[in-house]
Amino acid sequence: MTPNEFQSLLREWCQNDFDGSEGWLELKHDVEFLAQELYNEYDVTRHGGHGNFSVRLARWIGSADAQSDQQSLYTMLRHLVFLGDKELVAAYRTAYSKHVLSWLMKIGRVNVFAPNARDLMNSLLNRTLLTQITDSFGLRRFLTTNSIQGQPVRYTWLEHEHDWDRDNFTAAHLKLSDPNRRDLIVLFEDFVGSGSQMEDHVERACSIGGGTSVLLCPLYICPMGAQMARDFVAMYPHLTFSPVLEIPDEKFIYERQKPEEHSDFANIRRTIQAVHTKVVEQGSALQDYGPFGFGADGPYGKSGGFVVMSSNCPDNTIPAIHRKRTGHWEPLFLRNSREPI
Amino acid sequence: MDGKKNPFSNLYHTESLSTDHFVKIFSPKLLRESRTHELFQPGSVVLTGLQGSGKSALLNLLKPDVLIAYQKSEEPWPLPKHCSKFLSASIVLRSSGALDFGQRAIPQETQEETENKKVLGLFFGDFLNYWIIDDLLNNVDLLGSPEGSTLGEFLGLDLSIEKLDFFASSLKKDSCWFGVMDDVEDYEGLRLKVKHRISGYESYLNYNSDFPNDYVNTKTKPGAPIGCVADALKGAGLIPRDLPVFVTIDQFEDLMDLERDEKGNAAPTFRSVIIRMLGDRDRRVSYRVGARPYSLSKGLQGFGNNAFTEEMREYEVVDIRKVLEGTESRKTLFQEFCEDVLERRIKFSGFSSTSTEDVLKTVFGSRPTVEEKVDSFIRGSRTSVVSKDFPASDAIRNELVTIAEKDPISAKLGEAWVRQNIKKSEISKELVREQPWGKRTYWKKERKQQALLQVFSACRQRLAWYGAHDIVLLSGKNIFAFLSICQFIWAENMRSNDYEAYELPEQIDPHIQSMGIHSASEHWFRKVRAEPKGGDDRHRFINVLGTFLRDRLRNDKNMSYPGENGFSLSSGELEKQVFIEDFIESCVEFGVLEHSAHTSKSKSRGQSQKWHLSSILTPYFQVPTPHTKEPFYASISDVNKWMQAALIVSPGPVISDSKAKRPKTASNNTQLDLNFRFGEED
Repeated sequence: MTPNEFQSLLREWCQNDFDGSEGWLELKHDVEFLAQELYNEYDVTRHGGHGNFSVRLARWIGSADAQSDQQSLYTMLRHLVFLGDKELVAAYRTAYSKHVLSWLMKIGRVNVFAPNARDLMNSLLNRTLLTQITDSFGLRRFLTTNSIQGQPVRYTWLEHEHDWDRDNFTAAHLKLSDPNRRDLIVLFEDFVGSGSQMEDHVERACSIGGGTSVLLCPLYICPMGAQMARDFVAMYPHLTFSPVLEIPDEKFIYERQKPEEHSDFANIRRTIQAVHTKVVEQGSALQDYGPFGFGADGPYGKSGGFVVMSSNCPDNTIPAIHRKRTGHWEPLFLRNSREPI
Repeated sequence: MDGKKNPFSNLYHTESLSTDHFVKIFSPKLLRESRTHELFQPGSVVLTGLQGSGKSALLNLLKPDVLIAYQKSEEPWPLPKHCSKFLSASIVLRSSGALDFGQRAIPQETQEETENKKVLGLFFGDFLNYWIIDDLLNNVDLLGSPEGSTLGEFLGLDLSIEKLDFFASSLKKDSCWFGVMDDVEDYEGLRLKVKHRISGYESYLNYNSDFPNDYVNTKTKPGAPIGCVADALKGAGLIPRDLPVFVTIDQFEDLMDLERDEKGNAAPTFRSVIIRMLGDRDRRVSYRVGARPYSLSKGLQGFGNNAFTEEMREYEVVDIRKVLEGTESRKTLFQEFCEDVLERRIKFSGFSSTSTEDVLKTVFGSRPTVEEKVDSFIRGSRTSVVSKDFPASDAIRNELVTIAEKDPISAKLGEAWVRQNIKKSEISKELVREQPWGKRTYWKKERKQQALLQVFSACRQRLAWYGAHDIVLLSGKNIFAFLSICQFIWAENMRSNDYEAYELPEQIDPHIQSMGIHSASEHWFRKVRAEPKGGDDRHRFINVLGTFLRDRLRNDKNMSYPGENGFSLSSGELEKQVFIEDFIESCVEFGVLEHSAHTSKSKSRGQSQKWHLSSILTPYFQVPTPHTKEPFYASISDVNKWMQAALIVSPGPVISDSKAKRPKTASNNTQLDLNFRFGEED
């Protein structure tokens, strides 16, 4: 479908919505505004002939055959949570100025009105090792955004997934017996979905002992990941969990209807299940997590999100939004995956 | 969309354009109305109009740099000959720094609140005096420079250095300065003194210095030094004795933001300073105040003396909306104004047209009939046009259904005609087949819009607006609304077509136009909420009222009340309910309702007034735009019910305990609802 064809179709939907109960006009207005102000920030499709947002939107809607599915896809945009570049910078600044510094003030019992507060905070910061779970957090940019000096090591836990050794890590990065020891560890991550990717690394950080304290500070976290983090806090008293934004459960759709879910979700659920055979080739060995994307089963089955970050699309977002299958399905926000796809 | 251009992307051109560009884009059509000439003749004027109605653009013509740009351009001189000569100064309150008075409190000698406000008002007046004088002298300098000398000569200025110095030495002796100018030696020294005074205020208000102590004992009276400067300019022979001096003060309403104190109280201290300037009857200077209607609240008194200013005596009010209202004997200029504005915008954006027809019709097409609208938009079966609860025989109903397949409007009118007459006379299917209602020209004409609404509603379609006539009508004499509609239609057209960047679109598809109009209307409805001084209340009220009017028009199948897209109230009844009266008035002042006098058919109602939804909001509520026939005869109790349903709380007795619930609005469920965590820890 071309953008012109899609506009014509959308006009028809608005025209037929005679009493406004479908809300097409308001949604169209919002999408056009956000397309201009936000959605065009999406990095993965910026180059490579993917087309701008309006081109991708038309192709995406045109990937579905039935008009009811096309309408459900468009309705998904009402629920889309797009975290753009400005939001990322704001989250970086909040993570440091609010979450990290508050944690340090609490640990060091710093009275901010005391004359030596600055010195105390500096000494606490010198005891802190800022790390990232995966490189998608962008530790380098975090440090420059917050003007943090003197962090020569930018430790990424995922890089040491297979050869991590507690003693080596402690000796190389914490130097716990040294006067210049670092016994305060911060684990950052940009986005946590189910938590499976952070699980091992949080456990490792918490198992170091030797009087270390750990702060887990994801910028954005989904309900399942947040629950996992809270379970860790219950297990490890020296772990603090302080996310910048916990995305509420209402922003996720479940395999089975949840009480008080949004009235749009019934149609969306039907559509994402109906189009999944187009989105992913049946029997494909490559990343087929089902219509709701990556994640474990919950009380209402698997859940899928509508979250997109300007840097990439998480894998627990509905695959119909981010998955490409040449000749069958065009994504709205193509995901750049670590795994073969 | 790359390379394409929306000529309406910037709706506020006056504030952003250079003077060279302004002269190309400004439409002088309004100057054909003699009421606007008052702006260029001696005597103070309050120029009022809704947001974007063209106040600032008109006031811009008082600026010498704009007039110089006209002299240099190919555009014809915009002003009528008899009022082309004046010297002026102007201050735009927002950009001048005057609003910085809300940024830092000025030290007070007394703790008494009323006294403090008086002193603050005097400092504000002092700042305005110096700022305006500085601008006036800037303009004198401009007219003496090579760039402005032609205009200067035209005005009869004689700006020799000797005369300027003489002007300075005679001015400094005036007692209005309280000694501030005593050490001024020449014109240059005078200019520096004035600038220094302004920078003293700016520096203090921006927390860069302490308050200058010498200001405390040298506060000037609002307007007094400006009159002295005008006098001295004439006395020194710099300007002719008969050359009027004008002072423009624009964006008067912005002062309301300064007037709210920490407790939310809003004494009009700052506005009253300007009212004082108007009310002093200082014939040496004439003021022009650009103000939105809501800022000119009842009972504004002059600062310090609490004197009420009198319209017609101290100043004239020129209301742009009234200027554009036609009368029975005189056609409104609004259509021509729109045509000119549109033509200038598209020419300015580089579009070219080969059409010889007027540009409005070229771009949007001519006026469609209601039948043409139905043909363009109702594509499926039309049998649903005739109501299921039609109280006549199946034979008559079937006859109407047959008519509906060809002409749904006639069928709908026929249904109403049958409903109105079925109890009075015998109606056969043969009679219906002849469509006798078609011969009742006026009866039909008055009901066509209602029939259109009911046909679209029966076919489950949104009512459509398109064509030059509809667009002008929807703009409701507000050029800002017209530009906004054009902006949305153009954007929709750009999204829907691959036309060449500089090719003027002709006869834009009605579906695209209608979509753009609906988007514009929805945008304006959202905008109501964002307006100050109770925008949220007005938003809820208009939602209740608009829905009420639409439902009545849709459900009135007899079409007995085709004019009920507005409501009327007895003036006597309204006057007794001050809260309701003030609220309705605020709806008019903010452009949510349109107001006019109403000659009621019922003598017992006495003098009446009527209100309609602002035209631009009618597509959102699916209510016909034209004001025809009798409006809904409302009682105070009806209005009270609407206000209660909109949860507008009254302090008075009319509003009793309300069980009304806030109107349901669909949850946005956007990312804006997300709660960022700032205060919690796990």
